[in-house]
Amino acid sequence: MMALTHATIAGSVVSLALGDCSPLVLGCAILGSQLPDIDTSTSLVGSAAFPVSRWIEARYPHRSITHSFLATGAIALLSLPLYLYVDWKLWVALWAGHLVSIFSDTFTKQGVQLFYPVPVWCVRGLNPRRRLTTGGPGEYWVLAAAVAMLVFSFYTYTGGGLIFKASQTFGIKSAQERIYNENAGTRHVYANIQGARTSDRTPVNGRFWILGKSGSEYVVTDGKQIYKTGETGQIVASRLIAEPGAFATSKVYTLVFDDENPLTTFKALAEKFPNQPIYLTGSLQVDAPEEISITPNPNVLDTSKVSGSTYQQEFNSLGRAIAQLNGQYVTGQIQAKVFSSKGL
Amino acid sequence: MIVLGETGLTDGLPQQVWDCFSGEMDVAHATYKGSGKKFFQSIAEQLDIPTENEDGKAMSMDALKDEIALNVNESTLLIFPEAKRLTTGIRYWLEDLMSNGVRVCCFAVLNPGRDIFLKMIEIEIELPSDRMIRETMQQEAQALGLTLSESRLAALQPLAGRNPLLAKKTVQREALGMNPDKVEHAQYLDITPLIMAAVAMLGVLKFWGMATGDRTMYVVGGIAIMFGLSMRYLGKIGNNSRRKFGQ
Repeated sequence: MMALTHATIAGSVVSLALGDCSPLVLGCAILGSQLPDIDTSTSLVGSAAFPVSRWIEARYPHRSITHSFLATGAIALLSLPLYLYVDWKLWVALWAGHLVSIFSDTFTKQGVQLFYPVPVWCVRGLNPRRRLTTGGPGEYWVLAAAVAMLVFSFYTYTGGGLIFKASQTFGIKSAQERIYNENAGTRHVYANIQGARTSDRTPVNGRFWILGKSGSEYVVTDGKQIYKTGETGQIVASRLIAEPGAFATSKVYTLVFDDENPLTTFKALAEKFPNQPIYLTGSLQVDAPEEISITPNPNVLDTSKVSGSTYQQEFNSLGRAIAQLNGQYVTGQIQAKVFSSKGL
Repeated sequence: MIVLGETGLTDGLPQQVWDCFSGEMDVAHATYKGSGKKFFQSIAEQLDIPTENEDGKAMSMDALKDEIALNVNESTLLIFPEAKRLTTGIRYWLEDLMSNGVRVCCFAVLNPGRDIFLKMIEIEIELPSDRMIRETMQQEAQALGLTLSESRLAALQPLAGRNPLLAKKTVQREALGMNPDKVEHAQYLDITPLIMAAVAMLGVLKFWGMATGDRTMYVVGGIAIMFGLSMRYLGKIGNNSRRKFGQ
C-alpha cells in the first residue's frame, strides 16, 4: 500500500479507538504506520533512514520482519518511555499505528509475514484477484474510505467523543441524564427539546436552559417562563438532547426562617449575588396566605402555590418570591439555588 | 521412504541420493514417462540386469519385472523422483520388492496416501532460508544478464515464497517485464477469521454497556456487531470462482 493510505488508515482507526484526534496522537499513529516500510529503501521512511533500510532489504524480503507482530512488540517495548514519562496515548498510538498498517497490508496481493519468523504470508482471502494492488484503483477506494473515516473521527472528537456523539444522536434518556450529571456542576447545560405541550399538544421545538431536576424530569426555562418535562409537567419531550454550554457554577444555600419577614434575607441574597439568577425551592408556613395572589397558567410550571397556610415553591425566581411574600411572616426552611451567570 | 517437498524443492535431490549411495549399494533411479517397458529397461540397465532373453530378443515388460525381482536384494536402492506417476502395476510390483528387503526412495509433493506409500517413512523437506532464495534469485538474474537492485530483489522475493523454482520463475518474469504481482507459492495463511474475530470483539461494548447500564454503549456495541456481520457477508462477494470463456 502507498504511504498515504497507510497514514490515513492508521490515523483514522487509532484516533477512533482512542477517542483522541489530537495532532500528537495522529502524528504517532502516522509515524507507526510508516515504520513497516523501513525494509525498503524506495519507501518514504526507507529513504529517510537509508542505512537501516539498506541493511534490512539486503537480508530480508519486503513485508517480512518489519511487517510482523514481532516488530510491533519491539516498537512497543522500545517506546515504553513514552508511556512512562510522556502520555500513554502516544505510546499506544505508535505501536497501534504499526499494527493497523501491517494488518492493512494483508489485503494486498502479496500479503505480509505477520508471524515472522514463521514463513507464512498472511492474506485476507485466498483469491489473489480479490486483493489489492499497491497503487491500483482498489487502493484509491480504500484511501477514500479511510479519509471519510478520519473525518468522522475528527467530527466525533471535536463533538466530545464517539460515545458522547452517539448519545447525542440517539437521544437516549439515561445518556442525557449522565451528560447532565457530568456537566451541571461546572457548566450550563441546555436541552434541545422536540415534543408537545401537555395542555394542548401544540408542538415544542427549541433550546432550553436546564435549571435542575425534579424527580426523573427536568425543570427548564426558555428565558421567559419555566417548564417541567414529562406527562406531569408542561412539555412532553419525544426527544431531549442534553448539551453542555459555557462554564458556570451553581451553589445551593439553605435559608431558615422563624416567624420572620423573609424579604430581609431575600434582599441580602440578591445584593450578595447581583445579576445572578436565584431560584427557590421548598415550603414555608405563612401567616396570611389569603393575601398571596397567584394566577395559575397551564402552559408553565407553577413555581409557587398556596395550600392552606403552606406556601410551596419549585424553582421560583427570587424576584417573584419577593413580590409574593411582601409583608408576610414565614416559618420553615427553603433552598436557594444560585447560578454564577444567566444561561438564557 | 517418501520424501515430500514443494515442486522445485526436491530438484536435484534424487541425483544427490544416487551419488551418495552408488558406491555402497546397487542404485537405480527412474521416472515413469508413459512407457512401462522403457521404465523397467532403465532400471534393469542401471542394475546390470539383462534386458534380453537367451535368444537375444528384448524381454517383455512382465519378463523384465520378473528378471529385476530375481536380481535385487537388501543392498538395492530404487529411487523414483516422481512418485505420483507410478502406476498401479508398478506399485504392486514394488510392494513385493519391498517385502523382500529392497530399499525404495520416492519423491513427491504430497504423499499419495495409498498401498506402498502408507508403509513408507515420510520425510518432509524444510523450506529453504530467505538467504538461499535470495541467492537463487541473484544467480538467475546473473544468468539472464539482468541487474536487480537489493530493493527490487526484496520486493520480488515475496512472490517466490521459499520455493527455489518460483524464485527463478519470478526473476524470469521480471526479465520479461511481466505481471510483478502474480503470486504462485502456497505458503499463505488466510487471516479472515482473525479479522472477523477482532471485529466481533467490538460486541464486548454491548455487554459492557449492559453491565454498566450505559445504554449508548449498549447501542453502539449492537451496531458494531451488526457492522461486523455485514462485513462478513460483504466479504463473500466474488467468492465464486471466475471461469474463462471457453474453459
